Amino acid sequence: MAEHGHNRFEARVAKAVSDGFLSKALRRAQDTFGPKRAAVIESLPDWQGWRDHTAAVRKHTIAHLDHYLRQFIENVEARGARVYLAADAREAREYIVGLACEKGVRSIVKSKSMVTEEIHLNQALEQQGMEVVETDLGEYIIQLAKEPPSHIIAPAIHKTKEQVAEIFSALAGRKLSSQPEELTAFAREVLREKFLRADMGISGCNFGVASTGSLVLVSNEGNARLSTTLPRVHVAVMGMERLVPDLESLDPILTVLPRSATGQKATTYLTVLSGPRREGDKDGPEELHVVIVDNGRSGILGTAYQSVLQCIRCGACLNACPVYRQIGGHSYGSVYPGPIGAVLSPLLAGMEKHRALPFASSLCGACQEVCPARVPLTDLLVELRRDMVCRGMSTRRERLAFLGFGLLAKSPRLFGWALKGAYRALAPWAKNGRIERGPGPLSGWTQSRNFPQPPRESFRSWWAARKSGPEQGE
Amino acid sequence: MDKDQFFKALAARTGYAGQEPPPPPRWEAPRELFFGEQERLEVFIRESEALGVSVSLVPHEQAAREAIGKLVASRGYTRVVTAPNAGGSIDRVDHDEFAAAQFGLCRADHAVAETGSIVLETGPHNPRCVSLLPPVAGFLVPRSKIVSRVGEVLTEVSAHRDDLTSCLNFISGPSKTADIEHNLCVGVHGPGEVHVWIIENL
Repeated sequence: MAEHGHNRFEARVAKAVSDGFLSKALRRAQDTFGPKRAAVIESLPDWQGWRDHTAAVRKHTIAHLDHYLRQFIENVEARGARVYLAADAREAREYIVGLACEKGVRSIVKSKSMVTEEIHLNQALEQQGMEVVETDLGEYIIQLAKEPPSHIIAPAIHKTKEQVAEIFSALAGRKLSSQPEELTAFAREVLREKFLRADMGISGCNFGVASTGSLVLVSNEGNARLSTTLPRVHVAVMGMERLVPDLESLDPILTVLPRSATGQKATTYLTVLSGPRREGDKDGPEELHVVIVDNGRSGILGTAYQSVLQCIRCGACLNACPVYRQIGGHSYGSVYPGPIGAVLSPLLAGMEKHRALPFASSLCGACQEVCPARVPLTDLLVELRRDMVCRGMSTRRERLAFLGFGLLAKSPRLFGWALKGAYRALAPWAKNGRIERGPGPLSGWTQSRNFPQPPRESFRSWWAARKSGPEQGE
Repeated sequence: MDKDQFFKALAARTGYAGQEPPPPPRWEAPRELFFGEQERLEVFIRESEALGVSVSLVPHEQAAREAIGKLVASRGYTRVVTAPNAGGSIDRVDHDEFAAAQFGLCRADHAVAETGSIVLETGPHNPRCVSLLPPVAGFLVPRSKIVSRVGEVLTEVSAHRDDLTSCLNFISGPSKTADIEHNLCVGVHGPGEVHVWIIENL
């Protein structure tokens, strides 16, 4: 039920804002990423131009997605890889699970991928008795903690180093210190062994290059390189909109992506994979499978929401969002949190399921301001709100409130009475001109801040009196 | 799913059914981002060092070999893997053996000044694992291969896309993570230490 979904969102938010650790971690994340990004884009000539060009490339690709997708598939296949086009999450899961079974896979290493989270791949593979190990350090931490990621590019920002030490100590069977260096070294040791023994590597794909059939992966840790080099089978899973026309088109995107994401000029590793191991190559996977996932994306094409497909998944909107800062990633109840998640989740997984998200925004515009691909996030949020209201998805209380307001606003006399009435109606709760604990619908507001008592004399009546005063005196 | 059906529906949605798209948008990067020969070298060194890479400028390849010999001896490395393009010979890549190696050496095919990146067109002459599995990575960088921006490498690679390697890598500094409370830690999965020898006469 819609109401139920809304309540669950509110419950998640209530839990998040009362978590002191989380609040600290979220503030630290934004206060780290924000200034780093600002400094690095400050030193790049013509930042706005780079954004324009990135947006132009993405817009062009999405507008001609059928053409580029066809071209991409042809070229990937020409390089000796296999392509599977999945209509939805279930098809994608079934294909990958079937493939893993067919290849006799027992252990799988994964490098961070949002789309595999979206299709809930890990659980499906684990049900077949396969070991699935997330190898991005942050993803590994939350996999061990059995939690979903809370940030697109920093999945474990909600964990303190003491919590990580506890999780790793349990695995190690000995007490590890909470020194990040020691914890990182421990993860390297454990995961290196997993890389060397895995039969299958699963990666995402930051961009697919249509003209060459290449897969582009960016990472800082090197786990994407290991996952796509050591196991004999590599499976790349990608959202079907994640394409660029050619290698040259990557230039602006690679210029804005790391700067927007982590404030780096470049990530440590940028890997362009074109087909599996070739004759003469001495390493690399024997087989490459590219799973292209629709799962609601084609339904966004040709609608008012098409521009959301321009997103390059940098996470800058999360780092700029005052709402994300307060409620964190888990509150969104979706794989994609923050402003981009508030737009994307209802479109991919259904408006009913995520009806609260477009309203969880102050519409301040910070997300739209930082987006390197110029996704008009605020406009899309407003559009979604309108869409939902038109579909009758607002609550009864909300509909009554707006009906009442509509009646009042249509009649100047009623409006004047209401203003006067508000002073009298709220007087019993007011103290020194402030309401600290309001009644009924006002209680939501006064839970976290005071509400000013409506003045005895409204602005309108004061204005009317003032206007007639001096004129009479003249 | 039925691919033909799928593409038909998709084309109907984009509104460009059956039409060849116009050429993709192109844009000239600002001129300030392109450096002269000497400045390219300086920027490359500065950016690499900012990433924590140890950079040496040597007059010729022989001098690089001597410097590498010294490093290997002073560290007491006994297991070194050298890519064929850096004078080594590798018949097959045994993952365990490469993971046990202490130092991996190969030659860069390009380098990018703006980002301090080494570019490897990995393949038979330079297997992927050389620069990936050992904890310390060394790169020989011919000075003439340093360009200003990533876009120049992409254009160059694209011009020869029929010879595109199965794996093209841009490497900027040591492997790193900041996933634990934003503390920067190096060497999480790839090499945690990177050495570059720029060869002046190449």
